[in-house]
Parts: sequence; structure tokens; C-alpha cells
Amino acid sequence: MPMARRVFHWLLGALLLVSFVAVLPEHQERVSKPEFKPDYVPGHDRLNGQWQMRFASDGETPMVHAPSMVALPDGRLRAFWFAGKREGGPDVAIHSAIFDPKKGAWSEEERVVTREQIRLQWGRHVRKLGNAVPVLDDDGRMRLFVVAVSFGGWAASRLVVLESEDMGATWRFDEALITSPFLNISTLVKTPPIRYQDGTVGLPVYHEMVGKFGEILRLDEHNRIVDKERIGHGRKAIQPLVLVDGPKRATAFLRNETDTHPGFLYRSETRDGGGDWSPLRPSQLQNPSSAVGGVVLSPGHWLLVANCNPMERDDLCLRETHDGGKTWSGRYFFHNRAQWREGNVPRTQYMEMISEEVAGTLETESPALLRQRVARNKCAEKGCEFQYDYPYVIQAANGDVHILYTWNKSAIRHAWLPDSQPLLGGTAGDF
Amino acid sequence: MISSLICALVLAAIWLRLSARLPLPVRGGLAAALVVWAMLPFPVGLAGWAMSYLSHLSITSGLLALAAIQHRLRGRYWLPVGQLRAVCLMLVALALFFYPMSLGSSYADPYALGFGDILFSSVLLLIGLFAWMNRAYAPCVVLIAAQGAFYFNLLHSDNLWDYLIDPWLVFWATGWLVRDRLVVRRDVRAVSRQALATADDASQPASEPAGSRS
Repeated sequence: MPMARRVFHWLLGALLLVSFVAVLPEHQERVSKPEFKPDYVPGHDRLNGQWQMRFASDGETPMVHAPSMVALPDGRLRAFWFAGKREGGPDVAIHSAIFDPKKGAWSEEERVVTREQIRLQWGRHVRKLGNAVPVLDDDGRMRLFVVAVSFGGWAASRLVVLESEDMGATWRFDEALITSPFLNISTLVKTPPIRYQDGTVGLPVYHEMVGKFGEILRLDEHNRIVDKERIGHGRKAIQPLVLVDGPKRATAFLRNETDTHPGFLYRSETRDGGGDWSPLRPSQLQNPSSAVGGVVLSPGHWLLVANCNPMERDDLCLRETHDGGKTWSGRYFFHNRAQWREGNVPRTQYMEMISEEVAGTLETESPALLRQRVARNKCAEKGCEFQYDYPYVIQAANGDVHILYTWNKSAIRHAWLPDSQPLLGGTAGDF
Repeated sequence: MISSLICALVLAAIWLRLSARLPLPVRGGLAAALVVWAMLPFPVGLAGWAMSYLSHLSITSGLLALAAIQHRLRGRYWLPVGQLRAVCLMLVALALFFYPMSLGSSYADPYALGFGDILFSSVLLLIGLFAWMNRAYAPCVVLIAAQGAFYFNLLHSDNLWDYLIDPWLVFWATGWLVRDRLVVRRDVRAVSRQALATADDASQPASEPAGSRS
């Protein structure tokens, strides 16, 4: 073998070894022995207040959907949702508003992230925007994970990350997450993030193309994905809501997407910090294949908010368990329109009921506009229908429970259960 | 930047393949123009649009595109056909289980290994060493380049798989194998026909052996 060829041969061998060492994972233990960081508020798990209902959105856009929120360090809440003329429309943007519990009022709705902004900062075509989920880091930086679609429908979704240094008022594009080997499509977010002891964040995501299943993406402070764990497989369930009970224990509830066994939520458990999740099994909770929200108040003591029937999204109820989901009690309905489930409701009668709901909501700025939006979104020639869905639940540091959900595709409604706070006004009902 | 460059190289390689009948200076000039156009910032540049739909391409695709461009412009192929055939076979065989499993057909998710796994890296090292010991340097170069790019996060992906393979590479590999099979069969038939023809005339030279084309 000539000298040059021999040198090349050994150089290549050496480079092979060097490249092997270079890509070895830095924190293998992080992946092999994960530990959750439970974020329930100790000493605030007795709910005995009264719910207060408000609208977080102000009817500025004809359609709103998929709210999420984050508690700010000063005790306020910042909510996000997508809004525009229609779902998937080119004008859809991420809107936001702030709730101040001291004043008991929501700020004016703002448009904080647009499709055009992401398109130009990312350097890729963006056809539409969807769900957004915020994460507030310990250093005050806020991250927003947004579903962005370049072509096709929601099944072709990609996740982009934006960052804010002013508590969510302004945003700059950071990067697009590469989460799937096939064209990097079909990864969506919906449910609240979880945290790990090492400072990483677990982002529950789901896939809709070919397979329908949940996953947890684990991200470090630089938005690098350090691990990915699957919850379920095949074409069964999406939108995992992860309830963390302890460093090693968590339970996930998932929206049922099967045609053969519909009508209930799926659940899965982990006992090793999310390293492995048990096979999906049916829970005893009825649900019409719609999103579920929830929160851990203390280990085994959970609240779940979802549609509580196997057919339609025309009710919205809260369920409570004290034994990790073995038994459920304390069912409370924010809405229950089961009586009108069988047929379309005549417009006049429907609008009367909508007016009642608006009247039962505190400080509604423009009731007439909201009614107009609902009539546009939910009424057709043959009649009207109700829709209450996409609940997002958090417990603030002071123990208050907050729920946001989409109200008839026309407004984001806020249910607030203050923790031992004096009442500020009208109520929806006792817990 | 590197993602755009790889996309530009692949577009140039495709152009050179499609424009085989044009004079070389025209083809080369247009290929260079295509690379420049692709590299321009979005929304003017072609790469941003291509990657909006196709997603990013792997380092392997970039290296193959380079080899193809060199072949089209200089007429000499770097890659020994035997090595290319072996790599294509491996790619297609891998894709048969990798993509279905990664898209949710099972609880096991091979794609997750790419976020950092000692076993996965060790398997890649073994493959590399096997190729190195057999003097098959092309797979070694691909592994070194892909792992180096991963180390420096050149594709803005945290997953090593994204540096090694992509679906478009697998489609190309499948097409190459089909074409290879057809060419081999054609060559075998040609050899048989020639053998029959030379039965009467033993002084006729044999045809080009199978697998010698690029």
C-alpha cells in the first residue's frame, strides 16, 4: 500500500473514533434515570370557593380556539389562543391577554405572534398557525411553542419556538424543533408542560399523521431535545395531559381517536419518571374524543376538566379524584346542554340560552358582539349547536385554580376558583 | 446555512442529471446559478421554499449530491458501484422498519435513539470500523461527516438520524437499486447474446462487465 494511501487509511480510522466520542451523549443519566419535578402547590388542595366566570377574549376576531396560559411571578396570568376569521385561515395569529386577580379583570386582547412574523424570521413558508403552549423559565424568560403548518392540514404540523424577555408581550423566533424523521411533520402541542429535576422541560406533544399517539419531548434551556418518550402507539389517542404526582410517578390522560372503541378517555402511567409508559387502557371517564385539561392538587388528588359524555362537546364538567383516578367524584358542570343533543336548536331559543350564559359572565364588554359571533360560528339554516371544549387548567402559586376553554368557538372563557379569597362579584356556582 | 447549501447541491445535481444533452458549459453555468439562487434568503431563495415542503436533507444527501455533481461535470465517479449498492441496500432495509416505527407503529421509537444513545453510537462505530477494515471508505466518510455535523449542530437538529438519512435519500436509493437491477439484467442479457454470437467467432472481445458503469 502506498504511503499516502496508508496515511489516509489510518487518518480515516482515527476520525471514525473521534467522531464516535464526539457524539456520545453528555448526560446519559438524564435520559436513563429521569425524575419529574412535581409542581402542585402544597397546602392548597381544599377547594371550597365559588367559581367566577369571565371572558378572556373580547370578540375582536370571529373565531378563537385552543387557549393556554401561564402564571406570572407577580400573580397575574397571561393567556394565549389562536384567533382569526376561521380556523386555519391565513389571518390567524396568536392572541394574548393578561388577567389581574387583584382587579379581577382581563386586559385588552393583543395580537402577539403572526404568521408573517414566523415566516420571515424562520425563513420558511408558513400557511397557518395553531395551538400555542407557553413555558415560563426560572430566569424570567418565556417560551412559546406554536404549531405552524407549511402545507396541508394539521397532520403536517411542525413546532416552532419563540422566546420573550418581557413576560410574553413581544416575541422573537428562536428555532423550529425537528421532532420527526419524515419531513419533520405531524407534531402538535395542546397540554401544559411538565418539569424535571434537572431543569429540563417536558412538552407533551402528539402526532396525527399515519399514527395517532402521544409523546413527551424533553427540552433543555437552549431548546435542545434531549429525549423523547412515547405514550401509546398506533392510531389510538392524542393530546396527552400529564399529571405528575411525584419524582417517579405520573399519569397521562389522552383524547380517544379510535373508531372502534370511542367514548372514553385513555390513560397510561409511568413509575420511573417517564422512562417507560404503560400501554394505553381505557379510563372510566366518558368523553367524545375531545381535549382534556387537568391539574394535580396533591399526590393522587386531581382535577380533570373535559366534556363528560361520549357523544358531543355540548357540556363541560369538572371531575375530582382523591385516589389517583380509582374513583371520581365532585362532578360539576360549567355547561350542560345534553337536553338539546338530539337535534339542532332553533335559533331564537338558542340565542336566549347564549344570552343567559353571557349574562352569567362577569364584566362582559360587548355582549351583542359575542352573541353575533356565536350565531355566525354555531348556527346554520337547520339550527344551532353548542360547543365547549379545549380546556386548559393550571393552579397558580397562591392556590387559585384557573380554567380557560373555548366557548362556542367565539370566545375564550375563564373560570376562576380563588383559594380562600373574598368574592368579587357574580358567580357561576359553588364547587 | 448548511441546510440551504445541501438543498442547493441536491437541486444542482438534479438539474445536471436532467440536462445531460446540453453543452457542458451551459449546464455548469446554470447549475452554479441555481446554487446561488437557492442560497438567497427566503422568500427569494429557492432552498427556503424547497425546505418548507421537503424539510431538511441529510449530510449523506449532500455528499451524494457532491459526488453526482462531480460525476456530471468531470465524467468520473468517486464512489465504487459496489459500495454504493451496499449503502443503498442498507438504507432501504433500514427504512423499512425505521419509518413505520418512528411514525408510531410500535411503542419502540428508533428515532428517539438519535437524541443521544451510547448503544446507537456504538453500532454506528462498528459499522464504520467494518467498512474501514474492508477499505470501503465511502461509508466511513459519510459517518464522520454526519457525526461531525451533528456535533456542531449544523442542521439545527438534535437528532443524529437527521444527519444520516432522510426520506428523499431513501426514495433515491430505492430508485437507484431498481435501476441497478435493470442495468445488471440488461448487461447479463447482452453478455449472453454476445457469448452466443462469439460462439462462432472466438476472437470477438467480451462486452463490458456488469456493474462497471456509474
